Amino acid sequence: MMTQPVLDISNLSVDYQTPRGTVQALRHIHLQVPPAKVVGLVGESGCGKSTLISAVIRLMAENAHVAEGEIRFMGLDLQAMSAAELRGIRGRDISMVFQDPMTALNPVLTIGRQMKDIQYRDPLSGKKKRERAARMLERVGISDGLSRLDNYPHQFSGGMRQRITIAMALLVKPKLLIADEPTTALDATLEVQIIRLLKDLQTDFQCAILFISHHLNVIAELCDYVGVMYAGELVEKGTVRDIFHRPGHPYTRSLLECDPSVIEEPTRFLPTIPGDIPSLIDLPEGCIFQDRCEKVMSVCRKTQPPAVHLAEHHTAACHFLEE
Amino acid sequence: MNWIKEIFFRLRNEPMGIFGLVLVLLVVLCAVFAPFLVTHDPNALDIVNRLAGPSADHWMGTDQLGRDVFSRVVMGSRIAVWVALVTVSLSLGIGLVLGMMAGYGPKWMDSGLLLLFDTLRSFPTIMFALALVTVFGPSLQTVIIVIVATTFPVYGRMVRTQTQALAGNEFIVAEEAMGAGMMRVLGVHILPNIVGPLFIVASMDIPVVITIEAGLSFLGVGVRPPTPSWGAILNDGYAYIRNTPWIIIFGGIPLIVTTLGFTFLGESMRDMFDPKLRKDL
Amino acid sequence: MMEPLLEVDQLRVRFRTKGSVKALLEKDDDPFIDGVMGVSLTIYPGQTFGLVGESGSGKTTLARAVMGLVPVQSGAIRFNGKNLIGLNRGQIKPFRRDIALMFQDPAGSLSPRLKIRSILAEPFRIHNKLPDNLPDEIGRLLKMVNLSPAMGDLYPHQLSGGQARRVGVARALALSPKLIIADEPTAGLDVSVQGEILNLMARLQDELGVSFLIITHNLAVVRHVSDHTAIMYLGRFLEQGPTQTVFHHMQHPYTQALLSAHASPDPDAVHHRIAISGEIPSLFSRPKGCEFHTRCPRAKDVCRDRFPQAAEPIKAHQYFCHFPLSESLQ
Repeated sequence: MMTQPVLDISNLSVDYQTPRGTVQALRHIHLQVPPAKVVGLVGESGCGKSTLISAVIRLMAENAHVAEGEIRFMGLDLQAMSAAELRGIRGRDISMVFQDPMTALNPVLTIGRQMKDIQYRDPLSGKKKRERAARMLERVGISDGLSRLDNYPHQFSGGMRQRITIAMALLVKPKLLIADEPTTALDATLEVQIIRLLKDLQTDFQCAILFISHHLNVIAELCDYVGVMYAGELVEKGTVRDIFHRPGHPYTRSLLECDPSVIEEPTRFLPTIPGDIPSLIDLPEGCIFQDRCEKVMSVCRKTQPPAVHLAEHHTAACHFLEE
Repeated sequence: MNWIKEIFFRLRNEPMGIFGLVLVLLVVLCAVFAPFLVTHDPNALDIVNRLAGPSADHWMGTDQLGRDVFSRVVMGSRIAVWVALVTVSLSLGIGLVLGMMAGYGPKWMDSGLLLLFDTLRSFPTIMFALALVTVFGPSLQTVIIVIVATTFPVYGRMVRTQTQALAGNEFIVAEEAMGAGMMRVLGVHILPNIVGPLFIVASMDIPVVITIEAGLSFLGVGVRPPTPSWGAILNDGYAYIRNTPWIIIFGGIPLIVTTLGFTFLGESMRDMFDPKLRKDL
Repeated sequence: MMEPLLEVDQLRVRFRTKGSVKALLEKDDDPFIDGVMGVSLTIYPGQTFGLVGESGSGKTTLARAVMGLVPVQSGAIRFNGKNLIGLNRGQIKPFRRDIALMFQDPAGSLSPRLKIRSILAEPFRIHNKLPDNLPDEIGRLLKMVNLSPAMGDLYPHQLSGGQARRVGVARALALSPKLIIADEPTAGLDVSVQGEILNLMARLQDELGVSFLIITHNLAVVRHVSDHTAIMYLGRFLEQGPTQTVFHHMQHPYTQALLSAHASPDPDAVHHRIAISGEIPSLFSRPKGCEFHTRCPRAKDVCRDRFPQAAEPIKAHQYFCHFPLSESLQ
């Protein structure tokens, strides 16, 4: 990539200390988010997506710590920053949208008050801040923005609340928006609308987005690049077309095959990936996917697969692809 | 008897619970073996030695009639334990049954029971006691009836609220979907889930009940002198506090011990009944 | 021609919003909201019926009504020919052996202070049908859902989501029901393991001949596992029919929108997604006429005025739309 990425995660490993041992939740993650591009992270339960996000914004659990690696935002080392500097970045240069809008909305304050408060760093008058907030509400599809500023969160439906949190996240004009499963709890027909909205807003605001979801169709629609995570590792990454049209890693391939909407002929027995993710305390030697991979060979059980370059932006960690 | 073994097994993880159990056992054993523990006849007068401080002969001194305070305290534990256990058990039992029915049963049952609870709760204890005394005469039984009648509505309301909260849960719906009747749902699925917090409330009530008994006995509607209830001893100590502080001190210590013991034990038992909080799982 | 196992006929479920006194004082002569408005469906033995709807569609209310857990305003629910409505509790009880329910929240539907073996024994105890060897029977039920008999000693909170779900299936199977109603059997499951529970259900159907009513919001899943599909919106069926017919010849714009929202993930297919605007209205402010008109790209005045009649009530594929997809917009 020619220009400096907005977010540059290199060789990141995160451990959790638990009474049962050290959980190696993330191992050697290399991921970049280029400016004004959307990078999707897809993976199932236990893959480490949430841990990755909490590591980036440095709001990890007490028993978690970064074992190695760097996280750079606009070239700055996030790990080396003081708490005060981080607070300056969070909510302005990096903003977030969560699965449950009520984690971001205070139920006892009006929307207007909350949207005015997040603009506290701007030297505008209160009135101007209100106008900006009202315009932003209309931009996300809530008509009558000015009067709706006086409503409370419970007076909005679930979908509208999510639109409000998106409005608040973008109001501050961040360089990076991190969205953690923002549409997972919404009906599918509503999800389609929110994703469309995000796409439009991203084009207008030109912010980079790190988008986490396990809904493959949403990732396919929104993202420019995709990273596939499994049990704490980034097993494949590439452009969205690389991943969906030419998946390299057996896990990615199986994951795509399991999506019922992909299967053309109605089938009585749906494909699954048998087995469970391995224990992250007692990691197996070799490839992390060995116990569930149909193509497993003896080398997979002994050595960690290297990241194989399949195309300009496309890499996958699999022994099979080494020819 | 398996569940008794289980309780003791689980208590190993709860040091406070063990401490509480020890105190409770102290009080209970004192009550059970009272006749063997007394050094004097609790009612024996010895006017010459009245209001004496602790001595080798009278470990806790004597009261205004020369009676041995220690022996009176020990005998008093019988009354205290008896009153406490009987009233709290009855109260809890009635409150539990009625509360569950109110919380889970049809609306008319709920309304009717709520009316009962609130009416009884609004009776001032003393007036109710006086009214009953004119009918039944003063005695320990009167005290018990009064206390039960005025305390079970509190448990009833608590149980009702907890039952209502549980009744909407999916596992209750699942049982109903399978055809379980009200008795089964209440007994097998609701009761075990609400009984925990009740234990701690009930155990906190034990010293309260003992105090109420003392008050009623003081008014003459409870135990009649010379029966040595702790409440009666405290009242004597209060009347003669300028002569000697020892009666009220030694009258108060058993109450403190009982309160601490039941509270700690109650809290530990509540934790034990919640499978999610159990430390050994 | 097989006899139907379950026939629901014009079922209506309403919920009271105000007490009678308050309604009188506020001059509200209809203090009710409609949860289910005139739904009819038929399920045959050994068949799987997929009921698709988003939040607020009334699908869970319908399931509860079929189980007799919610009072019904009007309509009939016939199981093996016998109308369940109007029966008292004692008369309904035997039917509860034949219809079992699987819940959306797997752990929440298991009594938290009972061990799994006690939970599985409940159906037998409730109906007084304890087998001679209860532990063996419990072990057999657990094995049927691929769980080890040792799980019987655990408590619900010690199980994983997938295991709790399978215990729910085992419990539903206990008394060999003829119909199992599965409420969102794949909710919360990763895509790679969704198939496990659905395949288990399919295998049980092949082995035991049990019928399923699967309630879900995932249209893509329903296409594969159900014989018959119905699309529900705000208490009504908008379209229903044999699954392949509904998918290949869909007529209702909502069905089309739902399908495109669940379409196969393909970065290049993006342009074909149908986006409908707005959100599902609240039951408290039910739109007039065809309730979908507030969001429908094809809505015209007539849609606001009256709910469309069935195109041909007797046909297997029914849809309720003034401007079905096969006809051009006039």
